[in-house]
Amino acid sequence: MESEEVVARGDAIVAEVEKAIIGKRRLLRRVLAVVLAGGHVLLEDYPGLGKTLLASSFARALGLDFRRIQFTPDLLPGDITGGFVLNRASGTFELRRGPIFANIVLADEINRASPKTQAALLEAMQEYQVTLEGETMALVRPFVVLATQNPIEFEGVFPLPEAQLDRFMVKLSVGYPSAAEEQEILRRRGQRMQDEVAVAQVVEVGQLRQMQEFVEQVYVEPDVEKYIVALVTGTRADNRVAVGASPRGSLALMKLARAWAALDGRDFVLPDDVKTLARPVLAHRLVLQPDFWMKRQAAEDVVTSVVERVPVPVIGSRV
Amino acid sequence: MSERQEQGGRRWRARIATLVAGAAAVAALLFVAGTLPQMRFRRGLGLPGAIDLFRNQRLQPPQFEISPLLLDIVTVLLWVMFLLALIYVFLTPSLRRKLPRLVLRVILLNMIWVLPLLLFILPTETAPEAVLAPEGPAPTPIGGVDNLESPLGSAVPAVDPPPVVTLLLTVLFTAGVAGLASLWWLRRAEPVPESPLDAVSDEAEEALVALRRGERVDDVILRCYRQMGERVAAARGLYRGETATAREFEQQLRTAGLPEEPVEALTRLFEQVRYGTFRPGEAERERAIASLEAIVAACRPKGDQRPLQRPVGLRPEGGSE
Repeated sequence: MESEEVVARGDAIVAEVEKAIIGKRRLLRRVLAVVLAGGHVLLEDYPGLGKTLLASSFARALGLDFRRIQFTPDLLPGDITGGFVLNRASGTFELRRGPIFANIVLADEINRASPKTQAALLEAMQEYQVTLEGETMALVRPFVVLATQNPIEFEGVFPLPEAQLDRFMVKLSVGYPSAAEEQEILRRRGQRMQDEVAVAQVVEVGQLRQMQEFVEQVYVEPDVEKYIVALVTGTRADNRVAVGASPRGSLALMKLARAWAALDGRDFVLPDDVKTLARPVLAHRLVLQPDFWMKRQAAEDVVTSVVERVPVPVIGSRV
Repeated sequence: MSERQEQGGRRWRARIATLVAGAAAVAALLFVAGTLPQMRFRRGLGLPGAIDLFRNQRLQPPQFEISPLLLDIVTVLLWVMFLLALIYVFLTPSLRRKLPRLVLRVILLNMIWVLPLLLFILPTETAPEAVLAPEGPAPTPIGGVDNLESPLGSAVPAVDPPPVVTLLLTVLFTAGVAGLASLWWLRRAEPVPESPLDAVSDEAEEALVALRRGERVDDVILRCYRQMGERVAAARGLYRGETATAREFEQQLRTAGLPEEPVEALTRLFEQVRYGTFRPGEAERERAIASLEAIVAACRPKGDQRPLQRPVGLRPEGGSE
């Protein structure tokens, strides 16, 4: 697959999803980049901003199997992964696959479930497999978890542990639409005369895999690699941070920068790609010192300050 | 310390160094002027030989001899340096603009070693009595201007002040002139920095010459970009921070008034060469040349109608000069 083809298909996917999610092109491109990079997305924002619609629209546009799991306090791990149930007719235990066996899984309000249930996703998100009754089963690929959480509720929720957060490639916010965009939402709803938005399939699964293979071939210059490492280690050296970003964060930043470059029609990564994606990739991986946490200092500010002080390899070893 | 503060410090150090060199040059010139009362014209010689500046020294036994071999070595070295400088100036067009100022600086700095030389020679001056009444038979005047050596005759004593007084007056006068010059120079307005656009233009011209010399296109693009960044960073108002990417710098150049299309094309080429595996070919070479030419043309002053330096044999077919 050529670079131009990746760009054309990427634009077509985003344009199709944009029929449902209005005025969020930048967000949609980021989500698509995560899908191409083989990562998972944590959407944190207020209710009613279209998080679920975004996930289902992507699944339709990409031609992928989509399942939605509403996380609640009484949700059990088996409700996610499935399990062996007794078939009374045959008298044998049969495997009943849970909703995790889909291409795109929407984990809605993920922080409402207990840590035990949240942990059911760990193996699936990192190793793309599920272990049931000692039997390990591979998940279908591509496999993407789109999780949502509400940032304003503190009661009856279980904040995601760091190990779980680290497995999300990015944490994104949908954000409120502008007045004009909101009016456009109303206008389109009036024209449709129904709530459901018709999103057409744009690519086949095979084509999506070809796009992912192209992303794997995107070149990362050694100085850009050093830049990524400098940013990640910079978060560890910051005195506001108790626990900095992990090497998994470096890998996530590199993989997402490659996908971002591919969607931009390039077969090489620019420092601009890294700089643009540093905040959504790294911020949610940081654990701030209690003082700064009490001062409500955002982890995004820490990443921003690191980005503002780490030199960009414009003039380097090759010049 | 920020880069801007460091630049300010460097500018002040250079200014003080130039000031010291200028003061030394003025002092040297005044010392030479201080010997004028001893100057005599000698007939029958060309100008350098006719002005007998160190007549008194000639009357004294020579204090030192300069080896002819040393003079030959110095002469050869000066010629070599002159040729190297000529080649350097010819190959770097941007230096041609700075040449007058550079020559002036070199002259002023060289006056520093002229001064000790004069100080070494001048104190050997003998007393006026000894000059007017040397031991032994007096030289027979032949006529001409030498006859005017003492218009009042031997009965009138010489009116030249003692050497110490001359020296003191010279030093005081030099200090006064140097002080006034310093005050004027230090109080004048900040020197107008080199225009960012001029800096960009210089680098673009240099890159064009490098292209003409046949350097690899990717090397030329990288070198041009690096030099352009350094020069423009030194100029006021167009500072590229260490954390700025090539595209952010491109935006700065656009804001500074450079044409968008060639700047964008050159930046894209730079990105491909710097961060990618792509190796530019003839098409990219042509594109780079065209972009650089456009940047040079856009950076020139309005009245400047000089033709652009176009690489011979690298223009597209039918391209007009």
